[in-house]
Amino acid sequence: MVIIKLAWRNLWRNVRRTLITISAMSLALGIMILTISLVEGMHRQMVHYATRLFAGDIQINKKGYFESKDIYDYLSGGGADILSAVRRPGLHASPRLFGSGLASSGENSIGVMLWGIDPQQERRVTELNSHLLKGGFLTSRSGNEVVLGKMLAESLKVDVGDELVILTQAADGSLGNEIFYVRGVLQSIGDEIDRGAVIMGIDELGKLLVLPDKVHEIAISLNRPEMVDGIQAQLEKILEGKGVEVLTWKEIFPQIKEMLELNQVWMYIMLLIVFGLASLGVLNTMLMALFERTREFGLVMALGLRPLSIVGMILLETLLLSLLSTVVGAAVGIGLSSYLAAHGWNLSRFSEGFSMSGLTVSTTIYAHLSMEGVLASIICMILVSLVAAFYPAIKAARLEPVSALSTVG
Amino acid sequence: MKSFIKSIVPFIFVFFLLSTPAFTGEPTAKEILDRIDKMWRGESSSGEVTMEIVTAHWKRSLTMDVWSLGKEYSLVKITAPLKEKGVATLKVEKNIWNYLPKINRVIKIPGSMMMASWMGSHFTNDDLVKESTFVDDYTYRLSFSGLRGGQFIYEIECIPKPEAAVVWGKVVIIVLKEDLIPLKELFYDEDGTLMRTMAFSEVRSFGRRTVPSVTTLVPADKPDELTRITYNRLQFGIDVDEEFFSLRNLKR
Amino acid sequence: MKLAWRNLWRNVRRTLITMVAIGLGLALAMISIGLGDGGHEQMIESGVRMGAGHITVQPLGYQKNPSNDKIITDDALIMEALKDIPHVREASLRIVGKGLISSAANSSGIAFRAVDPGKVGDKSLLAPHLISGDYLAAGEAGGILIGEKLAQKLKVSVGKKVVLMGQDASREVSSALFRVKGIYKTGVSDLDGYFCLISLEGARQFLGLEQGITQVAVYLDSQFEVEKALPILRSRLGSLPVEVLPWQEVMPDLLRFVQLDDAGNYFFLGIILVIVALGILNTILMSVLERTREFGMMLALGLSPRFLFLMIIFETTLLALLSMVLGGGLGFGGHHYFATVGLDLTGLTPERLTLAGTIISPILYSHLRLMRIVGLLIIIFLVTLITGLYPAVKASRLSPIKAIYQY
Repeated sequence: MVIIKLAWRNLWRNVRRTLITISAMSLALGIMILTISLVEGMHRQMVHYATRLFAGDIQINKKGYFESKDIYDYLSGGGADILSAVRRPGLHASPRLFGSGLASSGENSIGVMLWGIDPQQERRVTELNSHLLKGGFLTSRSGNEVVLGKMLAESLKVDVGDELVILTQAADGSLGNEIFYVRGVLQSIGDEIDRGAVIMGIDELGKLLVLPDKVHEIAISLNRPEMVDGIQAQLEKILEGKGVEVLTWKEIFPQIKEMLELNQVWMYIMLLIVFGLASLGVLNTMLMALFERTREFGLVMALGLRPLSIVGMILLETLLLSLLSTVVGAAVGIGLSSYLAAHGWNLSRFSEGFSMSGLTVSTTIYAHLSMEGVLASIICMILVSLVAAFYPAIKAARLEPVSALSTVG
Repeated sequence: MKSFIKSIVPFIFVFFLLSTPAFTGEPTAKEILDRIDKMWRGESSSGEVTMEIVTAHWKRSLTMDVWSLGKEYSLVKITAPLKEKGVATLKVEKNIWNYLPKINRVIKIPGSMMMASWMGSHFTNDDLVKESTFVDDYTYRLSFSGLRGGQFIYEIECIPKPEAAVVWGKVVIIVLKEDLIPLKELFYDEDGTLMRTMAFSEVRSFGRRTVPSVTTLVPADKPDELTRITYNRLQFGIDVDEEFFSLRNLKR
Repeated sequence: MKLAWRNLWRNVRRTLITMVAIGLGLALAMISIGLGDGGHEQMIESGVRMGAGHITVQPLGYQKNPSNDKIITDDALIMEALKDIPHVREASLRIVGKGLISSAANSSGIAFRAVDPGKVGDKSLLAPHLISGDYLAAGEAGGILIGEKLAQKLKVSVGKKVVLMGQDASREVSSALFRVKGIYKTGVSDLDGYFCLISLEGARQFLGLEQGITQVAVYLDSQFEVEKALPILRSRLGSLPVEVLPWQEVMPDLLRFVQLDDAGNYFFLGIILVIVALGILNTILMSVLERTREFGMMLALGLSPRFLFLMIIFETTLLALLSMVLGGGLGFGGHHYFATVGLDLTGLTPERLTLAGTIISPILYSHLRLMRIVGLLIIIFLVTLITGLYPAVKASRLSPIKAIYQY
């Protein structure tokens, strides 16, 4: 107890030095927390883009559909049992129906993918509805309105309100044909959608394809996307024996998954560098602050303090220092990160968004503050400062009081 | 987008393989095909066909009226079932249009849809178009002449010319020696693997001509599926000209 | 001056630690700039090959509204105009379009590009990735290169025939036979499953074109010459119905990615600089504090505050210079290593990545431009000086008596 008091008092004997040390350490900590939050935020955002634009976190198809894309491989019973099985807190599910056909407007005809969705459910699963370039989004499961990809609209030379003829080979072999009106054009979302997607109400597509009340896919989004692997396993267990396949976005977009992993490696390298440099700063500060006090240590030794106590005292001082820095630094880091988590860091003056492996990425980076990140930063800083203090502490403990006293400083 | 074109194709094939009197000596492949070719060049016809399609998932039957002039012009209009009544396909040279009465629109089939199936059958749009250039795209050889399966036949091996835009490695046509009535047409890829078989049967007389009235197409990779075209009525030398094969008539 | 030097070495350990901190920061900054720039340049070069050259000449209005029926017939004039523009390495006439490819087994929608087989710039896109067969050869109009995925779908191998179908300039359906000359595997799904390369001659037969092209891809000696060559080309082609665009406009996605990534790198650099500055501030502040008594004494002995100020600034400057020599050396060494050996990311990367429409090579080569290093050095130097300013001012304002007694 005495030693703590002593350490505390020592700290405040040279207020200025202590303040400098604390500010250096807290700034380093602040930067670490901010960097780790930004890195995590960027990673999450990329996952978000991979999943929230269309794929969802998890997709459930009839076994084999993912490979074959055969329109006859629909979920039995309209997927009703699956929909009810996945109805649970934290999960949002949306049914989809797919087909292919010919979209034609005036002189221009192009082969397209037909996507039928339930607009009400879909908006809880993906953000398609908010990625409109112009016009509006679908409002109901039926009706002769379509939303289409940007490049497709350009190639077909259609705009909002224009007529679009869709031709398709229906499931009964008949020639499905219908006139639709363009309700909206999507922003650039990904090559596949941009180039060839015509999206309509699921009931409408069911009628066109003569697949009434059928469902090819149930897309699921999670409130906590990081749980995706666990939930996949759970769903697989629940749906076992129903002849379905539960895939996560990682399996749907292996390329994106690997790219994200690579990206993460890069980010961790950056993080390591930032941490390394920040640690070096802390080390420097600690070393200097302690070597400056060689004379003082000599004095206390001369007064009879045991070497071990010196080491203890120095380490304790350091601990106190770093705890103080932790408070300040964590406040700074958490403050900045929360700001960037809420408002994002807008990079749009550098760039306008681009596509990465077929997915469009936005330009506002949102930080993600996590307990783990903050703790890792704090632990790293405290460890580094203790390590940094150890060397001068040992050195001090070995001092010859006399020579220390005569050292200038 | 499977288009109607395909119904035209069998139609054209039938013409191509119209029967004609036998040769006295042993003819060359060219002579056999020329003989057939001459018979329908500039020929006009009209008739009614029924197309049955069997796939793994469904089975349906369409009835349609067909008109043709030479190899370049065809018009097909569906008369039954009700759901597709009035759906029509017009082929003029290499171009194909579909008319959809339900929405009252004419759609031109783009190049990218040429390999799509016509009306859900096993014929593609391209089959219709390609038929008109069949004679120009191949070189022929009489590969067999004699008794096979209890019938005297000619087997003609058609090899695509090196520059012809044909995917097949070879096409084999088997005709009856006696009256040159076609029996089979076999399509192979370049490795010699059979890709599809077209068989002709039910020889009938329509006016002054005798032709097989049933054509059956079976894809080799899906032996349980087929498209069968049956001629209910057929008339030659009708009074149509090129004007008849217009977009206006397509809609009517 | 001398005094400052000596002061610096009075506390060797401190000076060394500071030097290491600043130097390491500088070195890391250099390496990351080098790798960042090198990576971007690689991406741009690859993008330019996958896309349409450093500079693209195409029919007026094509960028906004691409369509098969827009054709340039003045290709001879364009080639003439390109002749003596400095830094133009190669100009490739192309016909690009969309169509349908089919074999006996299957068919698939594709995008085709027709080039002169002799052009090196175009060849370098696919030739290194051929897994069977050869690159297109001059005089063989009917050859086609397709990707592995497409070959599997069509069930064809080298030498087998495929038919291309498309729409010609008058919107008529046209088709032509090609034989698979080579099969490539780039790992980029768009290339491997959706792209075909044919010869110009082949495309003309296919589309029934006597002459005419849809695009001229101009390759320059390097991506840094675009700004020089563009205005010359634009003024020479001003009278023709064509648009002359730099890659930045033809591939906005790529530009955006590079910009955004740069922004990220700058952020990272900023953090490094802040940390470096912090280190310097700390060192100088501490050393000044430590010597308050000494300074007081010096002042009391008649040293002018100005001199003291200058001395501290000199100390800082010296420290900065030394650190920069150290950091520059380390950084340059690192850069040199990554520039020659490269940073091999194979094993970390998927087979091959596409980013904003380009292939990313798994081996990153560092590239440092002099301007960037100079800029960085100046910034670090300035940061050091500025951080030295505060303690220097502070020291020069000391009251001698207080300083001696208080410390």
